[in-house]
Amino acid sequence: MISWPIVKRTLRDYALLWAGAMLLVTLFVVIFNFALNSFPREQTENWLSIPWIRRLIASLAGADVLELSKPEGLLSIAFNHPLVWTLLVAFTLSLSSGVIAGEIDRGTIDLLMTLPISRTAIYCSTSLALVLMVLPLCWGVWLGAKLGVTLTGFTAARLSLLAMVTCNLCAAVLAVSGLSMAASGICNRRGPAITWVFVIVFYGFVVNFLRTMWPALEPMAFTSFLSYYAPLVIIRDEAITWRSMMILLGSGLGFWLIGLAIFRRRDIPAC
Amino acid sequence: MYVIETHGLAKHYGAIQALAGIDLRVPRGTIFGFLGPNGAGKTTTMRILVGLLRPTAGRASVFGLDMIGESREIRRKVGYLPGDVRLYEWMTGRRLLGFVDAARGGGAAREIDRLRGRFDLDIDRRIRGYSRGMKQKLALIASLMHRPELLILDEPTTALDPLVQLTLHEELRSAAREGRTVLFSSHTLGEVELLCDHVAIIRRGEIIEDSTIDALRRRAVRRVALRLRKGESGVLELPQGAHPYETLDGTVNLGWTGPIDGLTAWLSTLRLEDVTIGPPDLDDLFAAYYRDDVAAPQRGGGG
Repeated sequence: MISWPIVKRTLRDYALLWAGAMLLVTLFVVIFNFALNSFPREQTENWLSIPWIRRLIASLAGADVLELSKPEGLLSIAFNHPLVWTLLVAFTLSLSSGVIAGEIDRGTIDLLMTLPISRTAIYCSTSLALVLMVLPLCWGVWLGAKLGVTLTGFTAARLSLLAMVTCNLCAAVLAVSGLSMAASGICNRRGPAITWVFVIVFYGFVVNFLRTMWPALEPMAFTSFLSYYAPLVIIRDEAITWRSMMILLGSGLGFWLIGLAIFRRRDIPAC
Repeated sequence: MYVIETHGLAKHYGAIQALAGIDLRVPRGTIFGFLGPNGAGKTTTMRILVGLLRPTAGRASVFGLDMIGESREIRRKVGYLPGDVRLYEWMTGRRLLGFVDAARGGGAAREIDRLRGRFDLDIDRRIRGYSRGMKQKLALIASLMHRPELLILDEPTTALDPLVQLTLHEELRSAAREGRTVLFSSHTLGEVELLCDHVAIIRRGEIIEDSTIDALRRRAVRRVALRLRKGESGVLELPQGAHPYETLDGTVNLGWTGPIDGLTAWLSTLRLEDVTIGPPDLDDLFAAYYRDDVAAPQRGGGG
């Protein structure tokens, strides 16, 4: 089921990109900590009391930030920051589309697929390499928070709560990973594989963002994967929302299985 | 025993018919040439045999194993060289071969070293810096290094200089002597004639000829030029197998099809001043197969 040479090759090929993404994610969250601590707490709360900012935060984080008196609430905004998501999604897309759709695009798939390795093993091995790289990236956000808290002395924040948020982040990124592996297994070119996933992820962001301001979109909220990613709800309840986690992991697995089923049967065209 | 057998193998891309139900049998231990013009279906057939494409209809087996259900086991015994070689440009040649070796279960280090020497290739450079010919050599090493029982090579001499082509020919002959089988495609008749025992010709997705090279040669035309002694005159009575072309300055040019014995027997009855007998010329035969507007020559036995 797993071809270790493919796993090792993929990890090695993407190591530099991964290290760069990890550094950027962690560094950004550390800086975010410093930025939060550079403002007086009262002033931050005044800004957050402005209605449109409240709605904006609520749309991103899944709950009203003013409902929280916990210091983790503000820190969790880093887990929703567009820059963090851009880095995570970009890395996921880069690896998943690079190995299957990208190899068909470049023509190198002929070499790979004429080795005595089943198509299932190629797909599973690539997916394993993706998971092995993308999950530590998610925990890089938590690491940044931990480093930031340590460096700023903002010790009131409980990192265990942020760890729960990180678990939710991992599930959301795995959902995107499942989708991107499916797109990679189905498409003949890297461009369309990236475009399809980008459109779906972007749709998720837009629906999730606009629904708090435009109630007409609320019935469509369930179609956005970000509806199941709610850091503030986890911090408010101090518990992981297992239903959301299951939906994210289940949809990711569903997409992944569809991709596998098609990849096993499809033609591999000459470049 | 046939290493490759296909029955009614067909491949359609929507309305486009790439293969129209071909029956192909490749005997063990032979060098089998697969000839045809561009777009005839050579690459499609080969890609089906290595599991890259799924046939629309028909079936194929390699070593008696089903091409779809037992594709992985087949690929363990097969070395494949695609027609358009693309490699991981960011790797060095050594790393690429190491990856292929590891994916095949290892143990090819000595053979890699031998082939690297045979093809005179520096494998410690990044592939990005390789010329087209060097990439072709590296891909050949990758397909030969595990000493596969069956080699499927799609136009393998493309981009190779003549000396390297000779090295490859030696490697392929050596493989055949060891009982291994080579299926290679080409649209160069000379190469096939030089190297192959058997040949199949494909045109528009159909096998239109499947024969041994010797059988084809027997059907091919020899050019014969003869000059009669002075004083000899009259109309030549041509035996069966002779086709007159022209008479120029007293030299009679004709073609001869069939066993050479018949030709020599006929020539011995003539009072000749000079005679030149050329080798069987397959060019005309193949040109007729390739041309769309000319009906294919009648198929002969053999193979």
